[in-house]
Amino acid sequence: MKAQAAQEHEDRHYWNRFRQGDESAFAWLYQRYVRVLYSYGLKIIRNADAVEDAIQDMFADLWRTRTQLAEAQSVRFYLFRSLRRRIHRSLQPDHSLTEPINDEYVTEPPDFATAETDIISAEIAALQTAQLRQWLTHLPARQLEALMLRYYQDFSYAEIAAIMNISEQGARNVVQKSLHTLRRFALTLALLTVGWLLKSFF
Amino acid sequence: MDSYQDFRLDDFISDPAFRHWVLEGTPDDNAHWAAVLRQYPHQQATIRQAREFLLTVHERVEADFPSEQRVRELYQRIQEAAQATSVRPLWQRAGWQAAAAVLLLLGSGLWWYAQLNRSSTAGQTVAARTEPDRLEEVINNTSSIRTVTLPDGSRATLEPRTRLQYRRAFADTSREVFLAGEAFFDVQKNPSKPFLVRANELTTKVLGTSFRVRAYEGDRQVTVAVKTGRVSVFPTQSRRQRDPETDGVILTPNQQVVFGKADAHFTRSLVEKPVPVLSSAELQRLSFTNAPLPGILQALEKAYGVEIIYDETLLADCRLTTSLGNETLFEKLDILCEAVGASYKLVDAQVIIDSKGCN
Repeated sequence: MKAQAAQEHEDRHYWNRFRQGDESAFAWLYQRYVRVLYSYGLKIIRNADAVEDAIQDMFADLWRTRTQLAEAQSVRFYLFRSLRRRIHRSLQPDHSLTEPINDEYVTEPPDFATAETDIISAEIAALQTAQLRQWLTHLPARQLEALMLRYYQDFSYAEIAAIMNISEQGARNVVQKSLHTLRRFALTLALLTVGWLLKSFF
Repeated sequence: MDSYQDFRLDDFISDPAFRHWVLEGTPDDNAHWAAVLRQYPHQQATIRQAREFLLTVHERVEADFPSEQRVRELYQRIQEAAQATSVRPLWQRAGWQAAAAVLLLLGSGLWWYAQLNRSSTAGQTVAARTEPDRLEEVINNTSSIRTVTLPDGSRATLEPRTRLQYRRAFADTSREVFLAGEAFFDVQKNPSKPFLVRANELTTKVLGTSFRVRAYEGDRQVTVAVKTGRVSVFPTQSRRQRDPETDGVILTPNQQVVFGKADAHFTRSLVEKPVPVLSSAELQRLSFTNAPLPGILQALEKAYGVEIIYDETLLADCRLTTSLGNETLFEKLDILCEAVGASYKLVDAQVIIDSKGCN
């Protein structure tokens, strides 16, 4: 937590310099956040061009309107929320993007019948990691987005609520739902593993 | 510590101490969590799952990172887009004299006064963009350490009386810093862009790792010590112009090298306090009951990444009961040698055991 506070303090310093027209401070902020923002954008919509356009417009606008910007309590929070809004705005009916934001399952949940045959030929520990990776891909976009905000970026539930434009309880619910899904998958895998072990002895 | 007993998966992954261990894993973290695992063995599965989860989320996020080229190109487009509605390029290139010349042609006095005011800010932007090579400089004049975050996210911790310089936006093919003094570097991994520390005629090159460089101005020696990863150290002015690295040495964790400027000579040795390179979990498995010393020494080699030279047959009769904790290598060697009546010495970066056997 202390490291995060120190980082936010540093961000504010560069943010203020950038507002005063310092381009190197602007470049510094860009370098610090462009990669995670890009990754975050792809969680919301799997279209790299759309994400790039949104990031480009956001940073260009930031520079153009720098003298009108206020001090930022958390630059990180501001950038994430800004980007999300921008991406959602660009998905209004008049824009021609083919991938809609999908709150339902993006693809079918994994077929456990085939998972069982895979277990036979793989090390259990390695398989668990591989399955976990796969299951993260199968999560609905919204849940994956919330997971990233909570467990990669370490945003508070209040911040996540503000970024995703939902209530704080709503934010907790999305995160809990995704963990619940993963726990269910983990339990199923554990049962399958036990089943396989039993089978291999008889 | 007691609350860990009832922690569920989401409790672990939200816990700052747990996250720090999984994502950064300092020896202190390893020790702490090894103790937790010992105290609550029923949590082993959950802890492993939580660890897997955090690492996989990280991997998933970082797999979606853009390439460095994309980052560069995107920034260029941002610059162009940002300029689209401001002063025309002509004015910025030429400066205010050209603006005055054109304005005289157009013959508008009022406009000229307006331009004079605007050109001062335009000049600032021009300066920033036509001098990309200007060095950012951080000087630590205080009596305590000072941490700097570099453009790529790497961190440099500067000792007192230290100066660090670097280009504002790291170059396309490498990340370069210039050091006068002493600093510890924690470098972000980026195989496509090596990180170079230029210090007092010596260059240290890494892809992503942590190490310390000591090179005060006027010193006749430069010291580089490695904590994690591998580091390549070579003279900046080398005879091998095409590949100066071949004139240098490669250091692994717990090794350090002293470079004497006068004779361009490298002296390799171990750091003063070698720390384990294995994880706590792996260290835990290295425990011995009445085991022959050669086996224990082999485990020690693996644990610290250090080479130990000993006479296998001579020491085969020496038996000990011990386990590997978080002591430094030398503390451990002292204990072992004391127990069997042996001694050790350090030559280069190797440990040599001297003993008459155990009969």
